[in-house]
Amino acid sequence: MSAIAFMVNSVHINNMEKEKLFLIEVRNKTRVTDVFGYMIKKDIMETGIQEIEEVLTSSLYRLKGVCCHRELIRIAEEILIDAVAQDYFLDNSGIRKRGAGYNVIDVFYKEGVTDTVAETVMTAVKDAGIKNLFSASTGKRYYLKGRLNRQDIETICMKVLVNPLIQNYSVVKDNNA
Amino acid sequence: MEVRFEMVKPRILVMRVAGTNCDRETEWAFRLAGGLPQRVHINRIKRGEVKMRDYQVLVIPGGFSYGDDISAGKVFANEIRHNIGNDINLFIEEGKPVIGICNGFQVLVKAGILPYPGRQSVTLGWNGSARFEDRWVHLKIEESVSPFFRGFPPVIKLPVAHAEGNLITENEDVLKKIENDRLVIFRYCAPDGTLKGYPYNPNGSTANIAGLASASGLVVGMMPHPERALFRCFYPDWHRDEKNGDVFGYGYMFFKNVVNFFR
Amino acid sequence: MPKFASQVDILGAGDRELVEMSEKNLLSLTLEEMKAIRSYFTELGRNPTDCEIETIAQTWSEHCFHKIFRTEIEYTENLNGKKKKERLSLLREIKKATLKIDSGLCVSVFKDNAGIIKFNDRYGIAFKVETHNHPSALEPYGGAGTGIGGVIRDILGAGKAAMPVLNIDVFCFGDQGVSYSELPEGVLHPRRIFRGVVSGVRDYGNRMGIPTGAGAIVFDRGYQNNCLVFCGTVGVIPLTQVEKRVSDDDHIVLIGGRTGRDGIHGATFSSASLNANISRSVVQIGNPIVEKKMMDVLLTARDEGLYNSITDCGAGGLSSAVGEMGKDMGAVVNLERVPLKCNDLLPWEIWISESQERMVLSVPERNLKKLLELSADEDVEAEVIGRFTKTGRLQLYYRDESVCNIGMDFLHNGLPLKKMKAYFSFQDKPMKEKVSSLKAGELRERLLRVLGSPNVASKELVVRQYDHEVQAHTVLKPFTGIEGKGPSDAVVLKPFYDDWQGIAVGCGINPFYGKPDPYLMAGCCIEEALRNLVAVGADPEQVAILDNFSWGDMHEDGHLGTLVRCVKGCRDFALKYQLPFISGKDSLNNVFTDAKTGVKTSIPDTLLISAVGIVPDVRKTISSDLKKEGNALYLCGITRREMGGSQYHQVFGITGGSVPVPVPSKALPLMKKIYLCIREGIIKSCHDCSDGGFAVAILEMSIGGGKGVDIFLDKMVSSDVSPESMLFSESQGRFIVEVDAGAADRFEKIMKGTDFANIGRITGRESITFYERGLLFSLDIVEAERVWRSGLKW
Repeated sequence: MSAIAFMVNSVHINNMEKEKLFLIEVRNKTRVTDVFGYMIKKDIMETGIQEIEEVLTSSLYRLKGVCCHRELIRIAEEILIDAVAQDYFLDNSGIRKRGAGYNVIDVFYKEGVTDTVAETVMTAVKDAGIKNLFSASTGKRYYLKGRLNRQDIETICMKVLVNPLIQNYSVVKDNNA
Repeated sequence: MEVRFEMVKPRILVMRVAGTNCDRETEWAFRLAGGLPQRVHINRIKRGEVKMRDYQVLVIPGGFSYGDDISAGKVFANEIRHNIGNDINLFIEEGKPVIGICNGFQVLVKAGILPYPGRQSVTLGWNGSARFEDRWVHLKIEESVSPFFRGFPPVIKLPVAHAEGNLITENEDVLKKIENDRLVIFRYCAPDGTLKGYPYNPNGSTANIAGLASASGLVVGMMPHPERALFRCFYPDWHRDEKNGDVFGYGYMFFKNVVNFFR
Repeated sequence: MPKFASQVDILGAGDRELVEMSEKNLLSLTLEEMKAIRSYFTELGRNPTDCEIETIAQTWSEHCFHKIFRTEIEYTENLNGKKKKERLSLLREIKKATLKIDSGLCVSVFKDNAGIIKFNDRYGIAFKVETHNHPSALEPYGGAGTGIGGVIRDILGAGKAAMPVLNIDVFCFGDQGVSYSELPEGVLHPRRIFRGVVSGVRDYGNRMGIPTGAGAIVFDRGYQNNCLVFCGTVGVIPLTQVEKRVSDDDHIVLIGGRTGRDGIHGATFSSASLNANISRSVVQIGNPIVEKKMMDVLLTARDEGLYNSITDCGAGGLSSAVGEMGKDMGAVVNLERVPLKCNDLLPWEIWISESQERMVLSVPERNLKKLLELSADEDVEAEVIGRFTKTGRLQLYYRDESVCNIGMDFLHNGLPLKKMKAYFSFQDKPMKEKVSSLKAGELRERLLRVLGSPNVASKELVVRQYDHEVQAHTVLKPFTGIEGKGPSDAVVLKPFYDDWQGIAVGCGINPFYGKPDPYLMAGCCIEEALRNLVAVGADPEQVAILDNFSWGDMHEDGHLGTLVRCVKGCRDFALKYQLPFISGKDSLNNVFTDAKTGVKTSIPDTLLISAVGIVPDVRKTISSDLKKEGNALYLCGITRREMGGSQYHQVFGITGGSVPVPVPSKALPLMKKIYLCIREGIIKSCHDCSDGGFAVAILEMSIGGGKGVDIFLDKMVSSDVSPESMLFSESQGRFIVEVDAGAADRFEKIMKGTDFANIGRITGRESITFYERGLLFSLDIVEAERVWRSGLKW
């Protein structure tokens, strides 16, 4: 039908402060087993890629807002992690910590796809009295260990990790590079 | 006479929130056991329409509060801390029982209420199977500080139904302290009472711990669902009984013990 | 000059342009339908707006209107050379059976969002089963989750809202072992679909706090490109809340989730062929907590009498919900009042979006404030979006601009139903079947192979992921026995805390019987659903059923014929078993087009029958696990050589043979007597013989109870003496029952006049031993259990 683009009530962001994009990675402490990584490794092997040695997973939270560093730490520590079992990393500092030998893939929902966890994050942030967060989206980070070429990584993404109808992925770190 | 009887019926606050889903049966269990339960949305407490001081027992029932998004019970735990933390502390200080079942246990632990008040020292992580599982488990009743588990046989059966029930302590010291303080109310076990792995321990919990109490024994949290075991007919093997399914199950005994605490 | 809606130049369009217009905009309307729209607007003397034409397309879609089920079909049947012609409408045939049975059980059938039967003098039971096939094939987790979310809303929208007490799920998946290289582009691996669908249903159902207690999973290559996902919900409702009526001047209130671009064109898409290029907007992820909050509020609002009517926003979105509620009166809606997820939606998109977790209420002025407050109290969004009127028109506005103004009468009655022709031919000559004479050792090996095959193997791995006892009313769980290993034929609930009366729910599905004659498939599915309920102790005279047809490409020759033939089977066997249909749903055109080759593949035509029955006292139910050493085992019913479509044939790749023929004149009296014996308490365990035949059934009973058995095959009432057939035939109308050692005489006395035989006993040993004029073979329970419980991989 008509493809006239029009905007109603377009969200105007307060120009007083510049909106920033933050990334928080949450993953299990090393002494706590990553049960999902083990399951995903099994799935990858079923596709015929036997070279996979280890899979580790993290949750990613992409936040948009004008939060200060202190607020960001509060969000991570109070809301996003389970302090007994998990650690958090700001931006991509977690990738450096995990060291070499891993290919790293990030998967996020495409825009417009319902992200229930992100909605809950917003509720929780508001409840904690933090007002300067405008939006959140959630994703997954996968650390893949093994002698994998680019084709293998694409296969793993398309057949195991991602549904391209609703998700985008990016290879954040490629050991072939 | 009747007036006196009414006076010993404890008023029980069954607190619910978006995603709570075991509130009706928990309410029923307390009513059956002789209490006066009432399901109340946390918003009504936050707005001051309902006062916690008017109740003798607080229960956080099972469910998926806020979808268990982020991690199970986490958002609800924060909501409690931010909004009614002081009320709950007062409630506990007054020696009133607080009970968390399944999601309620996750909430109590993540709010830093159980086992030691102040900060979170244990958690309930993902099941070793990485899946939600509903199964009946055997539980070895421990000689704990909690008065609500007295009079039980050494091993009972109750159902668990959760994805995140793997009890993990912050470190070895916390585990030792919990054991020394006799805070473990029961442990997952084989039918003969010995501690074994999956599926007897359905989630991989440290030391097979299925439930914890506070030092006073009056704040308790457990992964199993006693409200689903009020009668034998709710057990998966009751058809093997000689009797009909209408005799009480051990779940009932727990609720009765809580209510009888006020006699 | 309109700002928000644009005009569609239909008045000036020729036939070819009309067809193009429909295709380009995903309207899925035929030329005849486009012409009807053109002439309506020609009369009005103006072109339609985009919103108007979308509204009509949604309302007239196959998904919403069920054109094929409603239209007149000229049907020719050729059975064994005898030709017969008749005119019929599929929906009418199904309804005919229900009308003729005239059961006192039915309260509300074929008119509401779900069928409703009587539970007792105060309450009714609402039951509905939906399909969510297309979305699940594309995004298994989201598709299946929104499938269960949708059918739960059907139950909330039945009468003035029933309270959901049980979910059931039935899935059909492709071969789990298929290699990736065999899959066409755009098709997810069947294992990924399997895990995604189960996880989606699990996460949504568990979060809603509704137990999932019954179901089935079928694996077959034919479902590789199009999986089937059937989701059902049972609810209980006070009989006083069954009637609902919109009053003119009622406010139209939209409650629950927000409206977004997700799920636009879902209704029109559901009847289109799947291919690799599907727009993302038809795929959705649900949010169960939004629905749970809404449910909590609705059940309170219902009890306080705050609204006059309710319906869910399903296929077609607001367009269908408001259109349906305001059908006999009229409605005005201000689309800018609809709460949105994102602000750039066009009016027509708001109107037809199928965003999840929304329902529409008709609220009288006097209750409006209270309803809005109640919703706000529990953080549920509710918004007044319009008002019902007496104008007979559907009027939509966006910021004072009229974007739609059409007659309700044209919208609901203006669709020109195309008459159709169907043909079905059948030769009643069973195809030759390779009969093998197998040695005892080979039979033993084959039994283990069948036992571990995915269709027969234990589904415990899946079932344990569902919370099947939340709400604390499940008295017969999907798995029973000593350690919960034995499978139940049906689930039984006790929906009220202070009452021992119960509800039993089960189902029947077997696409393998569909060829060559779907008529018999209908009979077998109906009987299996009934047998499952009788086996646990439900009263066979208080059972109602639902149909779900998932069929192949209706544009292709043949599928309409098999559909008609199957519907006739449903009608006839429903009458014979005296089971009223109370609701149903069809999902047609389950077909995949390979983008590279252009080859189209249809699914095997599949019928699901779901049954709901009354159990007068749940304390009198029984389970399938064997109970006590020394008790006698009986096989009730006749075993014939009916191996066509059997699991035995599937596993060993054997073709031909006769598919089982249900014999209601024998099966129904038998079931009534079994019910009597269960009530008397002399039957200690019972299991029906279905997939895999007698041998699998007795093994399952043995595993559940941890008890060994001696079985004497030669004692069976059987028309064929080969052990192969006695072990694996899937003849209908059979039950294995364990009878209390002291009550054998009483049992035989009651059962007199039916076919039954004492075929063995429960032993103290830990083995299952088959005799056939001497020892045939023996299996350890432990071995059988290992094979059966490890046949299905996650």
